[in-house]
Order: sequence, then structure tokens, then C-alpha cells
Amino acid sequence: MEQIFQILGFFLIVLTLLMQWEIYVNRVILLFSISSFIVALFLVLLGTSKPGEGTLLFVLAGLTVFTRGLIIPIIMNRALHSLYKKPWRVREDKPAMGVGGSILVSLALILGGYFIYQNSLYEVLKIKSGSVPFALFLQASLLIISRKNAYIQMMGFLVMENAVVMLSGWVFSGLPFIVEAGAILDLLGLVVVSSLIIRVREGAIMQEGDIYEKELRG
Amino acid sequence: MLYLYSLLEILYVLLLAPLIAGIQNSLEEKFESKRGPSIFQPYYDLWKLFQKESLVPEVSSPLFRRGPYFVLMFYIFLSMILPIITAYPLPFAPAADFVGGGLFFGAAAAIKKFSAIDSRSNYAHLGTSRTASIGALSEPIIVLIFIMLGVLSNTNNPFVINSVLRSSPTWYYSLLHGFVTVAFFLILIIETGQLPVESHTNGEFGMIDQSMPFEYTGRDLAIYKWSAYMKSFLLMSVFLNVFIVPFWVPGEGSGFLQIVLYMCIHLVKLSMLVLLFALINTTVSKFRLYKNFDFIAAAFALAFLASLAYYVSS
Amino acid sequence: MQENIHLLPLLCSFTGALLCLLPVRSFDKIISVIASLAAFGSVIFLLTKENIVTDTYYIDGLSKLLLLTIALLYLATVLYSLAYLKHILNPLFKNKLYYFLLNLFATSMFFSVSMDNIGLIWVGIEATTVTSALLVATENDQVTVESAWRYVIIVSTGLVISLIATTFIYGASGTLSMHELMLHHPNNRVFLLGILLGLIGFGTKAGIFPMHTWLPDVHGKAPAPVSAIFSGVLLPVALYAMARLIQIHNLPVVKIFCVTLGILTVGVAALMMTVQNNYKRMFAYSSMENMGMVLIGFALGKYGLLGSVVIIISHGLAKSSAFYLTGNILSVYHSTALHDVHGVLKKMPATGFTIFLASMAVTGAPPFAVFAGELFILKEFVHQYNWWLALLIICFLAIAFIAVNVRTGRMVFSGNPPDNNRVFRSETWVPVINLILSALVILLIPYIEKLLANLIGS
Repeated sequence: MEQIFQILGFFLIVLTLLMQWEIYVNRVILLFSISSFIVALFLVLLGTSKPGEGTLLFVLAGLTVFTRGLIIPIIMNRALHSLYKKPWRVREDKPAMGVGGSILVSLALILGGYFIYQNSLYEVLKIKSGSVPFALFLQASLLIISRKNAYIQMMGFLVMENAVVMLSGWVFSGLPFIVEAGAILDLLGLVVVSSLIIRVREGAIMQEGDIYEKELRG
Repeated sequence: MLYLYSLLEILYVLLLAPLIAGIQNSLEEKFESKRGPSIFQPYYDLWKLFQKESLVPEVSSPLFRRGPYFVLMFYIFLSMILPIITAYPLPFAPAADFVGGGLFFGAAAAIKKFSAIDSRSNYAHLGTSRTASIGALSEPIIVLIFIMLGVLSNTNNPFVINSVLRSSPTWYYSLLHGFVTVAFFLILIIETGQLPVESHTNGEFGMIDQSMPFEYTGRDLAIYKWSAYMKSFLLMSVFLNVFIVPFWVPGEGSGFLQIVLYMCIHLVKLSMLVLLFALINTTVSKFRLYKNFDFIAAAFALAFLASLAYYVSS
Repeated sequence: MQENIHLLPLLCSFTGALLCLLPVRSFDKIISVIASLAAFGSVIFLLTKENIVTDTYYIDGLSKLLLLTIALLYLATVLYSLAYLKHILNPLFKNKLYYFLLNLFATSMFFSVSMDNIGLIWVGIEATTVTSALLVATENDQVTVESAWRYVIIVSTGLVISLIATTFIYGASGTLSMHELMLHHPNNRVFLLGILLGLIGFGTKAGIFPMHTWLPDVHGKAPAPVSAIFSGVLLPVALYAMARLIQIHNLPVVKIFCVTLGILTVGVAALMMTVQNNYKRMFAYSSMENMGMVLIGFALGKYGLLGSVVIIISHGLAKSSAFYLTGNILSVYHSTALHDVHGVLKKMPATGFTIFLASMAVTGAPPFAVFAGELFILKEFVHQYNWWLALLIICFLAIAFIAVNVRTGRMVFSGNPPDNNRVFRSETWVPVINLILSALVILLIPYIEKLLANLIGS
């Protein structure tokens, strides 16, 4: 079980690194969808390894596949289609750091996360691979910070939530079902609301250029 | 007897390297529904070049003519120390370990660059600066990959790594091995000049390795091309014998017939790898020049994750 | 039936939300008013009942007082929105959706303060983000939408940190139920880390120092009733979650962490207030300063907690009154810059007078209860720590007082109003009533102290 978690965890890290490589928005959405399926697979395997309380985990895995794997990417794709005439060409025009630089900064963050985990929580928890969800969290926050396109920032936030699911499932014994289900409902609501806000924001940026921020300073 | 095997190994690499290149060219053309050249075409080309005279630019120094011979010497040396036809070290194998082998590849590349610049031609300068930028970033990754492989077996010896990967499934299926294999595959694409890094057409927008030998003619060009074929052969053999399929390589105390049999099996293995390269070459398109550095960053990320995977799982 | 009486405010606002969507003309306004009145009535009824601590609900004195604040401001905002929405020139969505979201917002806040499970409190606070994000972006303006987006991303990231903290707490102690955690909790490093991360996460929502960057942007660009309900109840609800976390694990390290953050918040807010040019952002920084004081009070406990609750109630009423009046000013002067607004007293006398009193109230002038609350907190601070830090806090409060009141005074008293014929009709009575209530809170302090008796522990 430990090895399966490591393999899935590192696969998620590689997927998030690929997200740093991609600048086209629909590719990032596709990669997020794949990583949600991996999280659901992880939950199913966790459920099979715990014979008693497995059914709730299976239900949670099904919910994850349904909402995070299917519904949220569909909503975001629809938002792209409704705003742009050529949604497959939407991309981050001027990335702040460049692809190679953001891959290297991601690696530095992964290493930093590993060291912080080793020196602080490892003595208490005694699980060596617990640094993987922290690395995912830091990489997702790099996605949010380094990109200006709001769709990709939203994807970064959703990857953070995936990382929390992995953390709670593996390192601790998981959150109660009602909290996880509430979190999924909240995420769904957030994505619906945000797609409207992002649509207006990106539409305004398309027409008027970058945000003139004098009113937002001070 | 073992010295005979060493000689056999050198002759094997020397004589069969152009065949593998010919198979790759022929397969690429056949995938595009053309008839393509025969698989022995590189031999005919080399034979033709040996008949021609060498023209040397007036402004060049003696290094220009002698460079390709040094490079060929390095590759012949490398073919003695890498595990190509046997799984146990032949008499000259302890001359350099795995990291040393990687550094010898780098030394050969350096001599190529010096002799290319020496011709004072614009295309040669173009190719050299591009190769140097990419090489400066990809060669440390090769050293990192080889060191991480050394972690598998606690030594730096490719033969020991081969035997460890053959015999223990935990190491073969571990995350460390997976990451290192994929990273080395990406480096292999860079070093042997396949798409998406370099294409074999003559447009100078993207020529990286191809524009270095533009001033060579005649016998020097033949030696240059032959050593390029040998470099591909050696790197692909290392990839197959140490990383992916370390099986069927004859061990200690095997007879001459077994080694000959393995030489044929090795050709089949190489043909499979060349088939994969031909598939990639006819499918993907070439990166724009600066995207190659992102590609190298991805290879570095995978090699680095290999070290992290080792620490997390140990 | 008796156990579920405390679900009543929640159910009132939720059914109000659902019924708003019906396509009957003006139905949304009527239903919202009825729902908020019903919620207010049920909260008053709930105040008379005793504390309920079960496995699902945890309603003690602190929760009841917060429920009261939420219900009051919900009612006031609905009443004010009835008239203000006509003045939004370019709305992003229909009024029906506005009322629907407002009712849902109130539902999620009622939900957050009544639950026993920390995870469900987290779900409730995240639901407040979801429902309030579109409310912020009501005006279809580029800068407004940008500030709404910044709000969503910053607050959601903070709440993810809170979720990690909840995971730590659950992993370290095996339960997320507040009443069990208050009785016995483990004392190891993971639990402490969970509490601290939870404070940081909820602090993002409450506008505490390093994570406050969304607050002035949102308050500056959101429409007036939305700003009012944000300052008045959204920030205190996040601080309620922080107060519960402090109450569970009351170590000196946690206390010093919160007090430091509170002092930094007050300091930064006071200094930023001196360079403001936009009156809505000025009032936003004043909210941030008050929330810093509330956090210090919650960290100190005992009479500090009493002072904090007093500040929450009276600041909520006074600040909402101030924001409603800025809505009046904006609809007449059409600018949020301070140098564009002159002579409010001559043009709109009731507005001018009330906004001046409201700005005195929120910065802590004597007859209003914010002053009493700050006094309680400072007394407890001096009792537990030392004189010179309290003097520093008093300096920051004084700087804030001077900055806000000079600017508001200049807006209200000096200069001549522009000669246009725009007059804001009606709906000034809501802010006036809020301000009067804020003044009356000082009479209720003994009753508040009785409700909070188990928390103060005197």
C-alpha cells in the first residue's frame, strides 16, 4: 500500500509539473481531470485496504470522479467556449517565469517541502512518503502565483484541494465523510460562481487590456 | 581469450553502427509510404567518401584535419568499457567507470566542437554554439542519471547495475528506475539527434548538430560520420543493456557461440529501439529552438525526482 | 421538535432564498423581507432558551450573540437593498439573483455559527465565500470583477490551509466535535500545528494582517449593502471560528501568536488609513483595525472576550450604517474619491450628520459601545501583559481615530456641494436606526456578560 501511494503520488507530482509546462488552458484542464481520476483511484485502493469502513470511501471516490473528474472540467470547457471564438487557442500570453524557470522553481519547492516535512512532522507521524502531498500543495500555489490567466489560477486551487484529499487519506485516517462531501459541494459551487466571474474578467481584459490598477492600490 | 572478445566488441561496434543508422532511415521512409534507401546505404556512402579527396580551409589549423580521428579514438575506447556484448567486464573495462564513460562522451563532443570552430565557417559556428548551449545543460543530467543508477547497486559499475536490474524485481519496478529510464530516454533523443529536438533536413533554422561538419569533405567526413553512427550505437546499447532490457546478456564463463548469438539478439533489440525512434520521428514535429531548453528542464526534473523518490522510499 | 428549534433562522433564510427564484414580479423583495423578519424573530426567541450542546449543534452565549448580529444585519441589508439596487447603473445579473444570493449568504452564516463539528464550520465558511463572490461583483465594471476574483482566490487558498489544519486536528485527536475537544485533547505537535494553521486559514477570511490584501479591494468596489454585510458579519463569523480554536487549545504559544497578529493588524490598518483617498477603502481599513482588536480580545479571554463581543455587535451596527451612507453619497456624487465629495451636510443633512456620528462610533468615541469594548480589551491586556504594548495599541487607535474623523469631517462639513439635481430619496432611516441601536448596545452589556458567563469564567 505504501508503494502504491508513492507511485500514485509521484505520478501526480509529474502531472502537476506537466501543468507548469503547458500554457494552453484546455490542456491544463485535461491534466487536472486526469489527476482527479488518479485521486479517485487512490481512494478506491485505500478503501479496499481498510475492510471495515471501505464503503464510504468508495462512495467518496465515485463522487470525486463525478464532480472533479467530469463535471468541473465540463463546466470550465463550457465557460471557455462561451467566451472565446477559438477556445483551443486560449493561452497564457506572457507567462511571468517561462516554462523552464517554473519547472526549476517547482523542483525547488518540492525539495523544500520534503525538507520541511522531514524536520518537523516526520518524527511524530513516522510516514516517510508524507511529503508528497505537501509538495503538491506547494506546486499548486506556484501555479496560482505565477500565472495571470484566471482559469489556470482556478485549476491551481483545485489541484490544492486534491492534494488535501491525498494528505488526509494517506497520512491521517481521512476526514469524516460529511466534511468531504461538503467540501466537494462547496467546490462545485465555487467553480460555477467563478466561471461567471472569470468570464466577465477575461472578457474585460480582451476588450480593454490589462487591469488598470490605480484604484486597487493603497 | 578475453582479449579476443574485446577485439570482437570493437569490431562489432565499428562494423554494425552504420547498419543501425541505415535501418532507421529506411524505416522512416517506409512509414511515409516511400520506397526508401536500402539498409546498407550508409556503407555505400562511407565507401564513396573514402575515395574522395579531403579539402581543408586555408585558415584552419592542424586540429581541423585530426579532430575526427580523435573522436573516433574516443568512441573505440568507449566501446571497450561499456557493456555491449557481455555482462561481465572484459579486460579493458576497468579503465573508466560509468561516470567516467559519461565524461568521455563529453570529451568527444568537446573535440568535435573545437575542430568545427577551427574551420571559421559561419554554419560551423552556428552549430557549435547551439550544441554547446544544449550540451552544457544535458551533460550534467547524464552524470546525475548515472550517479542515481549507482545508488541502485552501491557501485558505479555498469556491469553490476546490469546484474542487479536483471536479478531483483524490486529495483527493476521501483520509482527510481522508472524516472531514471524516462529521463535517459529524453537525453537519448537529444544526444542522438532525433525529433523533436533535431530533424534531418537541411534548414538552418533548427540545425543543431548537423551544421558542425559542414566544412569536412572526403576521408575526414567519412570518419566524422562513422563516429556519429558509433555514438548513436553506443548510447542506444547503454540504454538497452543497462536501463530497459538488461536480459539475455551472456554472463561469466559463457562460450564464444553464446556471445555470437547474443550479438544477433542485440541487433534485434536495437532494431526495436530504432523502430520506436522512427515512429516518433514520423509523428511529432520539431520544437522551436528555445523550447529545447524547456525539454532539458523536463529531463532534469525527472532525474531529480528520481533522487527524491529514492529518499522517500528508502 | 424542541431540539431543532435552533435550525429555525437557517430554515427561514433558506426557504426565502429558494422562493426568491420564483418568477413572480417583486416577489423576491417581499419574500426576502419576510424571511429576514422571521429569522430575526426566531433568533430573539432563541436568545431566551438555554445553551444547546449536542453532537450536531453547539450553541452557547457566543453563538447566540453572533446569531443576533447576523439576523440584525441581514434584516437591515435587505431593507436597504430594496431602495439601493435601483442606483446600480450596470448590474451584472438580475435583482432576483441578488436576493437569492443574499439569502443564501445569510443561511451559510447561520449554519457556520451553530455547528459543533469543526469540519462543518469550515464547510459553512467556504459556502459564504461561494455565495458572496458574485455579490461583490454586482456592478459590471472591470476593476470590481478583478477585486471579486482576488477575493475568491486569496480566501479560497486560505481556507485550503484551514482544511489541512482540520485534517491535522482530526488525525491527532480522532474527533472533530468541539465539545469533546474542549474536554480532552492531545497535546502533541501535530495538534498544535493544526490549531495554528487553522488560525492562519480562518484569519485569511477575517482580514488579519499578512492575508488582508483582499479586504480593501472588495470593500472599495462592492455595492454599499454588500460592503456593510461583509464588515458587519462576515469578518466576525471568521473570527468566531478562530475564537473556538483558541478556546479549544489555550496554550501561551497560541495566545502570543494571536496577540501578535492582532497588534500587527491594528498597526498596519492604522498606518494605511492615513494615506487613503477613497472613503470606502478608508472604512474598510477601519473594519480591519477593529477586527484586529477583536482578535486580541479573543486571545486574551475573560473580560477581553466580553470586550470583543461588545465590539462585534456595536461595530457591526455602526459600520453597516456607515457603509449604507456611503452608498447614499456615491449615488449622489458618483465618485469614491475623498476630494470629490464636499458639503454633504448641506446637500443631504441626515446622511451627513449620521455618517459623521458613525465614523466616530467605529473608531471608538465614548458614547458608543466600541469604546467600552476597547476599554475592556485594553484592561485585560494590561492585566496579562505590560503597559507599553498597550500604549502602542492606544497610539494606533488614536492614529486611526484622527485619520478617519478628519477625512469624514472634511467630507461632511467643509466645502460646497456640486450643483446637480440628483437627490437620494428615502431609505436613510435604515442607517439611522442602526446607529441608534449601536448606541444602545452599551446598555445591554450586563445582559451580554450574563450570556457569556461560561466563557468568561469570572
